[in-house]
Amino acid sequence: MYRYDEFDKAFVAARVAEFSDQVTRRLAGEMTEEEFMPLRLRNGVYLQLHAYMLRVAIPYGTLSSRQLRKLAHIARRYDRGYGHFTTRQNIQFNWPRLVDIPEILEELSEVEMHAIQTSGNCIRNVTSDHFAGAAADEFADPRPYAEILRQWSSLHPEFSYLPRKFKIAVVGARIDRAAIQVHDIGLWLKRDSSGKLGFAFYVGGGQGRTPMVARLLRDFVPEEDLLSYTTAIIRIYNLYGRRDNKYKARIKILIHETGLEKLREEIEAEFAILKTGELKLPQADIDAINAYFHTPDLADRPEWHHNLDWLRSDDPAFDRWVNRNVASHRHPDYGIVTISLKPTGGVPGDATSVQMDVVADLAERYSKDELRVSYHQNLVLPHVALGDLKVIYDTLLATGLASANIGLISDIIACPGLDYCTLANARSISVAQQISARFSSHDRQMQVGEIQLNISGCINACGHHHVGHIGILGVEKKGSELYQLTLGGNAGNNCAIGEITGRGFSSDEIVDAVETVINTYLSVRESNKESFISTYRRVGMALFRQALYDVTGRAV
Amino acid sequence: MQLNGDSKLWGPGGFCEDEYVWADCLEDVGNRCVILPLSVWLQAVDKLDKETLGKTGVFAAAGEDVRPLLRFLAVIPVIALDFPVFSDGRSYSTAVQLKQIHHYLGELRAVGDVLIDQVSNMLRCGFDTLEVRHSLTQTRLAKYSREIFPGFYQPGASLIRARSHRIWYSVSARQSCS
Amino acid sequence: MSLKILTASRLTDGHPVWYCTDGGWSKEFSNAAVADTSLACLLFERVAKQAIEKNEIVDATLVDVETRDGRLVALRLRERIRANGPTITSYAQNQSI
Repeated sequence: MYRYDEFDKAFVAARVAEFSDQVTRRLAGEMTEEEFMPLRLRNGVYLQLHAYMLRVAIPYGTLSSRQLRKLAHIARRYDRGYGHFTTRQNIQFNWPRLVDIPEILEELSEVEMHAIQTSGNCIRNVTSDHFAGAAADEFADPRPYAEILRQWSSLHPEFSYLPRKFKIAVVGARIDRAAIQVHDIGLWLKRDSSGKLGFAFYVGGGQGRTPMVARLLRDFVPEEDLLSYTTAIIRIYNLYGRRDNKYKARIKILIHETGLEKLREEIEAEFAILKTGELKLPQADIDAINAYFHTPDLADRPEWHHNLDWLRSDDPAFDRWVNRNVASHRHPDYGIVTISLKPTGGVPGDATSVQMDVVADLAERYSKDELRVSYHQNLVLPHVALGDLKVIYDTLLATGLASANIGLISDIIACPGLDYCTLANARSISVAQQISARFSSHDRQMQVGEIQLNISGCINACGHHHVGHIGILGVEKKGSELYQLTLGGNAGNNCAIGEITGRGFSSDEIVDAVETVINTYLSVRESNKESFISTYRRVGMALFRQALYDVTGRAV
Repeated sequence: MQLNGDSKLWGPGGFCEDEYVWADCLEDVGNRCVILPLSVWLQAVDKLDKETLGKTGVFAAAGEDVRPLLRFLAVIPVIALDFPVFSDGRSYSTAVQLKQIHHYLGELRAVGDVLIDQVSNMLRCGFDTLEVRHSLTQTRLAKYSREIFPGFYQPGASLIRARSHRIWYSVSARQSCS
Repeated sequence: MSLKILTASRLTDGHPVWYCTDGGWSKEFSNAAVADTSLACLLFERVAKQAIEKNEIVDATLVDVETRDGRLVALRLRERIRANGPTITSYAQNQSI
């Protein structure tokens, strides 16, 4: 993974000093809240219902054990002993005091971490495939390019006051695990017919009030033009994006209102000027960044051939866990382990300091000192020898981290919702907990099979409900919480926005409604190999509506 | 925001006298140095003699199309770009286009809601001068010695590319002399 | 006019606070001073403005309340959650680990 050099360290230290000064000036009254707010947002500091919230960047979701231990320490020392991992591969702390934040940032800088640009109308954390550098279906590691974009976007003088936030994601495998098509810019690494490496550029994806799937802007941009082309897009957005209405300020709206063709002309014209300029990436520079991301040497570890099968047959719980939580690695003796942060009745994406420390130890010992934060709010150990699975599992079991539910209905993506967030209209965590409890039986979950259930507590869609196979959106109606149900969304390949079923459900009704949807699916699927999303695409919404509502359109 | 009716002009050399006054129409031009709105200036360009043109600058609103000015850049003494509110970042892009892409050699001036926390961005985008109304910003600028950041990850005006294996590393000319 | 109380977030730590009967800002919702006239609301607005200028608080708003069984209750769920804390127990609180 990338290692800071002296310049990077000095840069972050300067940023910490700058923000410390801004906090001091704010507390002394030399700055109003209006002047301070954009500045604190650019350092990841939100004001939420109960306290400030600090969002720490985890660049393209990659962490070392040392960094995770520092996060555990921060949770312990400055917070309430836990942190929350997000759909953008960041971590959030819910209870820091503003007065402590400069010190927290200084501690983070000791391990090459920061909270720069995790909020505000600027370029945010560039996310990527949480299986990068390990997945069997990968043809090029996207993380060097995420790192290039990260550096280039850090304190970019021209793009610090965009119309709205700007989110970029990069992938390089057959399967898009980073949901690039609901990002402002989504990049898919590919090779052209001559074998040259480059990117398909997708633009204008996003969720929130007006969800849209990204459009293909250009099928192939050579890798040396990555920064020039990205600059052209964001410059056009900065100049022409709407600034009159914050719900219409993303690039997706600009494309929708101006038209992709017209915008493409402007972008290509700007790119033509930039193409031969300073932003062209020399091959030597690309190689230098790439060097940080070479897969570590993985020794052959064939012993699993002898013992894994009988370990699995000897321990059914371990067997279930291997089945659900271990994905194929490029190296035949290795696997990619996903650690579920979705225990039954738990808070999706939360981990305690103790759990973080345990995972850090596991990463150091068994995963080449590397771990990832997944788009699904879980943790990933990317390089695990299959022969080490049992000892890892036993450790996870003792720490409450052994839920064997990856990709199943209880592997819920949920935002913090009204329990924490000032923007929320309804609670999301309690709904997640209830659904998780309703489907706690592993057998039932396996019967249901692969399914992605996402919950957002407001229209801002931080829970990515629009692209859940089942999506739940909490709204407020006449002072009460109401939950809208959507079906048929999909992140990743074949990206789709879910369709609303009809009237919303109360907090008492929503879990039953989800169960009704599941039962309907089970009753019409062609076989137990036909997943929920495949069945939905085949049969459509009608049957589900019929099951959910009576003839007057009220919830059954 | 604390408004001080007294607006001061600042450049990296410190506060300086502002030769220019704001004017709305051609009739105000006379013998003085004035800054006209872009649309008015475009009408004036045929009507003014060379000497007067040399004292007549242009004001562009945030996001206003400056492409009509491109063929005249060599004769425009000052271009003022507006920040109607500090969070409106359009003029940063206009500045980059004028300075870095089209090599405008005159004075590029930031006007409007100019605050201390955006000064660094403005200088790096190519602004030569800032018109500052905010009194606390004026106070801080009086003590503005050097950039607290050791360098940046992007190219920028008055920054040079330092030798490094990273993608981009730019520093101010002063810092690079080592 | 419904009863109103004045709430804000404390600048230093972001904690919800309520303007209370002794003229200060309290972390206890039950201590909140109640306004039942529009004049009282105007006074609240002045108090808020002063406290903001003194950099004690940010984001001051008036909140609708009622009394139930002699206790003060916010009408909106959001304000009840602000008063009582998250309704779910966090994993940290839940686990003995």
